Amino acid sequence: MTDDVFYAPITELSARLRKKEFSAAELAKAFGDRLAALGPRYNALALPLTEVAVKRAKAVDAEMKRDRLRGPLQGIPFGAKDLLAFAGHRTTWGAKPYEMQVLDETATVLNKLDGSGAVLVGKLSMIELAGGPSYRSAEASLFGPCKNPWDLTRWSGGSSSGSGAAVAAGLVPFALGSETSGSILSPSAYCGVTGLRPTYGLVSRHGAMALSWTLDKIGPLCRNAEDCGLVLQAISGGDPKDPGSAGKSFYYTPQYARKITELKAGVAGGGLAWAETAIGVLREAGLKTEAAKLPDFPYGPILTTILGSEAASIFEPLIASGKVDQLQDIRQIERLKAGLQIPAKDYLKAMRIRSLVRDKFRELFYDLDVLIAPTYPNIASRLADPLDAPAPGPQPGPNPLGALIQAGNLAGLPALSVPCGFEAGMPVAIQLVGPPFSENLLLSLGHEFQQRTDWHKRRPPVAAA
Amino acid sequence: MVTRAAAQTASVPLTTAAQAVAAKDANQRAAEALAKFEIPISTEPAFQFKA
Repeated sequence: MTDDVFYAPITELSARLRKKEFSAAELAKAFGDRLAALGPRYNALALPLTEVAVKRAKAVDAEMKRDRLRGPLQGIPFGAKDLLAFAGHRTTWGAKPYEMQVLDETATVLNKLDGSGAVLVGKLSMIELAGGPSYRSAEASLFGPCKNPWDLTRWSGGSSSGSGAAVAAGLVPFALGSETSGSILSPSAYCGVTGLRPTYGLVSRHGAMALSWTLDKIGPLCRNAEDCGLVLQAISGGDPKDPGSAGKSFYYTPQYARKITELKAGVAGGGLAWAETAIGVLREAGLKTEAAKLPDFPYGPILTTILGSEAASIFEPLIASGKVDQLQDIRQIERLKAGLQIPAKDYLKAMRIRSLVRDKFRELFYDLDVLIAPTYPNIASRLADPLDAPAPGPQPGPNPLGALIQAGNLAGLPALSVPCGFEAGMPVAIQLVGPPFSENLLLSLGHEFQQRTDWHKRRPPVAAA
Repeated sequence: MVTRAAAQTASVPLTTAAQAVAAKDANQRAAEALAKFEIPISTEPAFQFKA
């Protein structure tokens, strides 16, 4: 297999499988071997599954031979963040206290992908406990700091660290990640891949580690927006095993997308030339834009309180056992412990304000179809730097949409991060955020952007093993 | 699932005692910010329970 295969989008791999240029088993072996060989270079690999994958792929080949076609994901290899349970195999949640954990039920999303014919070739590294309430360092992982394929001295982002790095380095065609507040968007932006945070409740979290019941989402990291749509279609849908399930499915229907000339975006480039240029690309395509700002709420304190309370409750047994001290990151350890002291009145106040946040965003989207802003104003930090050190590069000015990741997560809104350039040799990205269940709109805008740019096709310098 | 954005606070010494104090301070600051934010008495929390 050549780089053309390793960096091909799902749509192309699917077409080539159907043309019998290679079999699903050959594809699974090639990606599985590559992930096993190169994944450790980035600290991106949690668990190689090549043998299991090849066996499964042979069954997929047999199905395809019988013309039992399941759709575009059939025979496509993928990786999954190591917070998703895969029965009979280790699921570490990236954390020392759980390093030998083997769960007996597979996560709903993995079962759904298996049903689509996609082939799991490996589990991918992550920040321990998906970051918990907070963490200080890229080192906060059982697998070591995940290195960015664009610069091995920089972080991949997190907490879906291995998912971002593995897609960027062509180790898997797509990966699943999860987000409570930025953990799909961060590795997507920093690694130069396209990531989709679905609407809260659209994708089942059954079998995924819980960090915050009211904030957790699972979504794909892919080569482009179109692939995100295909994966989301496969993993979405109601699930009685997930109490937060919205009971809705998603069908990727780009053919019915509204014309870009009919759409109005609220934008804030924050004075960053690359972000303004990216917004300009969409404007030239016909998108109407106007300056936007977030509704005025204390997003940080709301998020800190809700996440801190829920995470501490979930991990209370870990804290009580003392095993919490086995975590790598002192900040996470102490934040988890302190979370148990958050009074109920504060949690409830935060959740009450959150109702108003949701209502205000509903009003905002009466007039606007989408919000567009830099995913992050900075590039990936150096591995040696603590995450609370000043971000590298010129310090950006204030952005009226600067808290969009926190706000969007609190309101349960979907977001798509698309690569839009490079600063100091590192990828940068914009995020598109829409009302609940507007994924088709975001994906069509993202696709439109990617038809006019090639940032998503750039490849980091990955040497052969 | 949480990124550096949630982690960014003033740099605190890397000791258990200092981080424990910082964690309690962070909760306190959040509580004060929430307390200052006035909301209508009719506002219900943003979660739902399905029986």
